Amino acid sequence: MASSHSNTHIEAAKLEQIITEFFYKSLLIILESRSPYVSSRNYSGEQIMSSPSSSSSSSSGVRPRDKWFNLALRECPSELENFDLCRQSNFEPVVSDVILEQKPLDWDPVTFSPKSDLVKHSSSKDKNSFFWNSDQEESGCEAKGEKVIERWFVQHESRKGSDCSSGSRRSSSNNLSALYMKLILLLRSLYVTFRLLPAYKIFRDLNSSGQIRAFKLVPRVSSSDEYFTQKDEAEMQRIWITPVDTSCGRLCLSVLYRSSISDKSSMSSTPMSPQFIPDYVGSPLTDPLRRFPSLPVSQGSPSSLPFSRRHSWSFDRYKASPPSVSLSPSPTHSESHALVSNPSSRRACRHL
Amino acid sequence: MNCEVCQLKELEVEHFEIREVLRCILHTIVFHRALGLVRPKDVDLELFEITYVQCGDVELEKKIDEKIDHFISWVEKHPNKKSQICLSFYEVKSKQPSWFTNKTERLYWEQWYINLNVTQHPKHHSSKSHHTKLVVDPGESATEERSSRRAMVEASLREVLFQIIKFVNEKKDHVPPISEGVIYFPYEITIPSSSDSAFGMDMIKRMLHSGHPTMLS
Repeated sequence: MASSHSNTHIEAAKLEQIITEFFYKSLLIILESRSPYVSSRNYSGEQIMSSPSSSSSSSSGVRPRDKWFNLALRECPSELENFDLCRQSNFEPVVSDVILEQKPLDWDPVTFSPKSDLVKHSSSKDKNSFFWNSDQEESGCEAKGEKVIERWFVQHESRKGSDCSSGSRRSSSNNLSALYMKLILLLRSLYVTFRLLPAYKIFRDLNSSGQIRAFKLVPRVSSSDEYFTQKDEAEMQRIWITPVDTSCGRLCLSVLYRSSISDKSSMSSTPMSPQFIPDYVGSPLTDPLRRFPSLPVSQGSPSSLPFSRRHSWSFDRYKASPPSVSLSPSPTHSESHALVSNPSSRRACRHL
Repeated sequence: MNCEVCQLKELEVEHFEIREVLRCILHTIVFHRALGLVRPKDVDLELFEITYVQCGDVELEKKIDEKIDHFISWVEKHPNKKSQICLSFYEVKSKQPSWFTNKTERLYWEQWYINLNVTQHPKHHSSKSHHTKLVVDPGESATEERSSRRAMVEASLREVLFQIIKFVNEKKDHVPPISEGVIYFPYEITIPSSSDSAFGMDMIKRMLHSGHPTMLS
C-alpha cells in the first residue's frame, strides 16, 4: 500500500517535470526561431551530424537538456535559464510576443556612419519576464516604433478538481510514455509551424544579411499579455495546434499572427517602450474581463477535442470563479488567465 | 493495428519544381516521424519562399534524393500525367516460421499519398485577350504569368505542409513507440513503376495488407 502510494507520487512528480520541460522547450523553440542571436541557423556546423542518439553525448555535443523530447536545439540563452520555470509548477500560461522593432539609425555627423542602435528597456515590474536582445545592456534612450507580429501562448489548462502535483492513479507510466511521445510530436509541429509563418522570412533575412537593417525582431516572454487594439486584432489570424491531454488537464499551444507584415510605413509612429503589466484584465485588481472579438466557430474544429469551447485562448472552464493569475514570485494560483472572445470577430482561425 | 492514411492535396508542378517540392514534403513528414533524438536542420527552398525542416541525417537525405531521382526518371518517360508517391511507415513483425517461409512481415501503420500533376511549361499563346499588351511587350505578361503561377504553387505547397501538421496532431494514437537508439521509424517510399498496372497492383496489395484505407480530406 505504502509503495503504491509512493509510486503514485513518483509518477506525479514525473508528470510535473515533463510539463515543465515542455514549457521550457517551447520557449526555446520560440527564441531559436525568432531571435537572430539564438538561432541555430548561424551555427551550421552544429547541424551536420548523423544519428546523435547513436554516438555518445559528449562526442556529438548533445547536452542533457537537449534530450528532452528528442529535440536538440541551440544552447539556451541565460535569460531563459533564469526565467522562473519553477513557477510553471502551477503551469501558469506563458505569453511570448515577437516584436518587429524599428531601429532609429543615428548617423555620426563626422564619419557618416550609423551609430549602434540604442534600445531602452524600462525596468520590468514582473521579474519573470525578459526581452531577448543583444543590445539590452546598452544605455540610451531612443524612441522607436514597435509592432507585435506574433503572440504565442503556451499553457496547461487544468481540469477541475485535478492537481498535477498530487498523486493520481491516471499518471501511470504507460500514460506518461504515451504523453511524452505526443509531446514530442507536438513540439516537432511547433518547430515546423514557426518556419511557415510570415515572420520567419523577416527572421531569416535579418539572420543572413550582414547589413545594418532598419528593423529587428525581439522576442518577449512574460506571464501576462497586453491586449491588442481592435484594428490590430482584425489584422491577425490564429492557429491552434491540437492540444495534448494530460492526467490533470491539457497542454495547449496557439498563436496570433499577422498574415502580412508590411513595410515600415505601417509601423506605429508612437514610440512604445517595453512595459510589463502586472495587473491585467482578469486579475481581481482590475476591471471585469474585457470582451474580445470572437473567432468564428471553425467548421474544422477537431472533434477529438474533449473540451469543445469557443475560441478563447485560455481559460479554465471548469472553475466557477473568475480566473486570476498572480505574478508574485510565489505563485498562489493555478488558475489560468482568461480572454473572452466576442462573437463579432471575423478573424480567420486554423486548427492544426 | 489501424493504418492511418493521409491523401495530400494535389499539387500542379512543372518538371523543374519536382525535386524541391518532393524534398520539402517528404522531409516534413519524416521529421514528424523521426521521434528519436534529432538536431533539426532548416532548409530554404530556392524556388519558393518556404523553409522546411530535415532531421539532419545524411543517410536519410541520400535515400530520399535517390527516390526522387527515380521518380523524375519516371516522369520523363510519362509526361503530363498525374502521379502519386506513397510514403509508408511500418513495423517489422516475425511471421510464424514454417517449412517454406521464415519471413518477417511489414505491418503498415501509416501511409501518406503525395499527389502531383506534372505539367509542361505552358507555351505563350497569341490568342489571349490582352492583345495590346502582347504586342507591346509579350515578355512582361509571360513573366507576370510565371510569377503568378509560382505564387500559386507556393501557396498550395504551404497548404500541404499545414495539412501534414494537422494530420500529425489530430492522429497520434496509432503511432507505435520508437525503440531506444532509433531515430526514425522504418519507412518505404513507393513511386510509380515503369508500368502503371504494376504500380496499381502494388497499391492494392498494400491496401489489402493494411486494411481498408481511410480517405481523409
